Amino acid sequence: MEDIAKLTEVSKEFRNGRGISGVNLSLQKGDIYGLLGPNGAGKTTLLKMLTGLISPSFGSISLFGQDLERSFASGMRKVGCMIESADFYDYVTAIQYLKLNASFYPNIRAQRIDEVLEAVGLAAFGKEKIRHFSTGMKQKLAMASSILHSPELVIWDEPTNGLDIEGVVHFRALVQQLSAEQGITFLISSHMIHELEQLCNRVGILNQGVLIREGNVQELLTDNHSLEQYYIAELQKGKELMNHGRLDSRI
Amino acid sequence: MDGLTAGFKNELQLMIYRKKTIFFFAISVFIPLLLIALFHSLQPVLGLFTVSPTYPVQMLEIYTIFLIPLFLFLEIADLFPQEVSSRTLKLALLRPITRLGAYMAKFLALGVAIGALLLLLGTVSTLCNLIFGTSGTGSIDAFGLLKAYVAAFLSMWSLAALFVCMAQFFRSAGGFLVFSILIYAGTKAAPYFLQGFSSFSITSYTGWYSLWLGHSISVAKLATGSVFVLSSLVMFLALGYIFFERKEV
Repeated sequence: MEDIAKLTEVSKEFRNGRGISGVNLSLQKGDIYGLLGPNGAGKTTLLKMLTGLISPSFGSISLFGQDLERSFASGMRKVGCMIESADFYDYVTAIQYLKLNASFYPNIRAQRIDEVLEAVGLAAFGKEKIRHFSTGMKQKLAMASSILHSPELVIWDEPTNGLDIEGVVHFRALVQQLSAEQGITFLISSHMIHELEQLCNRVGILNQGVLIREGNVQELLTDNHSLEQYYIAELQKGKELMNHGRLDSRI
Repeated sequence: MDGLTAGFKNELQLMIYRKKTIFFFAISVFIPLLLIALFHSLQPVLGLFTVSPTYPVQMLEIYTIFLIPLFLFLEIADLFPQEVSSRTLKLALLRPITRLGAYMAKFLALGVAIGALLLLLGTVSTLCNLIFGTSGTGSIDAFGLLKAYVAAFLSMWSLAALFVCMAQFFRSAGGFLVFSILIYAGTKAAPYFLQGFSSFSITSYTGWYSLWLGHSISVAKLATGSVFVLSSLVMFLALGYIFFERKEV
């Protein structure tokens, strides 16, 4: 299977001593990969490194078989992302913002902008200034922006933050639709474990900067009652190993 | 350079969407007209005081010392520290554009804005001069005027490079604005206390355009000045990029 994204022994150390340690992770075409972990585990840091916002201290990252550092622009052409939080130039309208983004990609017409706004449920708010948007609406706009150019890989960091129940259901349907119809690969970081259980085919658990477990969701569910049960058990195991000094805690 | 054209167009578009840019362009039309109206209304009182043919150059003096630097500080604050504090810098960096492309797009957009501001000022003040001015001594030929405006553009763009470089150390637009105004005022005052300071400060070159108006200035002096202005531009631009490239958003 083709590796869409690959992280090899990636580490990042911040001044406060936290960060990421020796992460190996690969995404195959069509994966819906859920990245789980408690607050401060390093999920956002990992996604920022994968999208070039921060550089790793060690290790290598490749997108679509090419080194990220050397072929950043060509790699990012096929990636859509929403990292950390949905932040915007609040003095523009949703349509103006999407038009700005569209200029980076060939052949995106006004119709496509209407389509993505419709897909995330913002069709009626296209001409409104973003400063009047709620957190959930901004989140939806960030999703619209990241799928505007029909990317091959979508990276979403906590996409359900600020979404109401209807929005969460809509989000789930959108991921399933894009995965089924366009074969888009997803990397979704969240602590909404039930959402990931329903959506993902693979999950990875990140704790204190270390990817402690990875697995196929269906296989994990044969041995565990739920993904939540598995997650809690793995975190507990991780803590015990840390206490016994058996887990490399370089961070 | 990947994505540079799109990034450049985006930065220009964002500048246009910002009200302060429109405000500065509007006052570039308004101030020359206001001053002309003022001169005309005061003419019965002032007597011989008239709008001279050097009006576009007089306007350039006001602009290069006060208004364009202020415009630059505000725009640079929006382009760099404000984008860091509001976390919108990542919007540009997550697109298919290299860091160098994203940085250059901002700097080129700044150059276009300075150029457009000067063009507007030159056009309006020349029209004011043609309509309301008088012919007389001190006239400047069109080519001389053009040279002065080009020289003013270069010195303003170099000044922009210096402050773009400084902006990389700030995470708040307000802090950068206060700092840049104080630094600019300080470097303007420094030559009164430190002999020779002006030879090495790009902020002392805001009036450099005036050298291009006269015929008595040697070519060597103009060439030396040009090399200083251009090398400052390149040096601060490159230095600013080194810090921008290392920025972790």
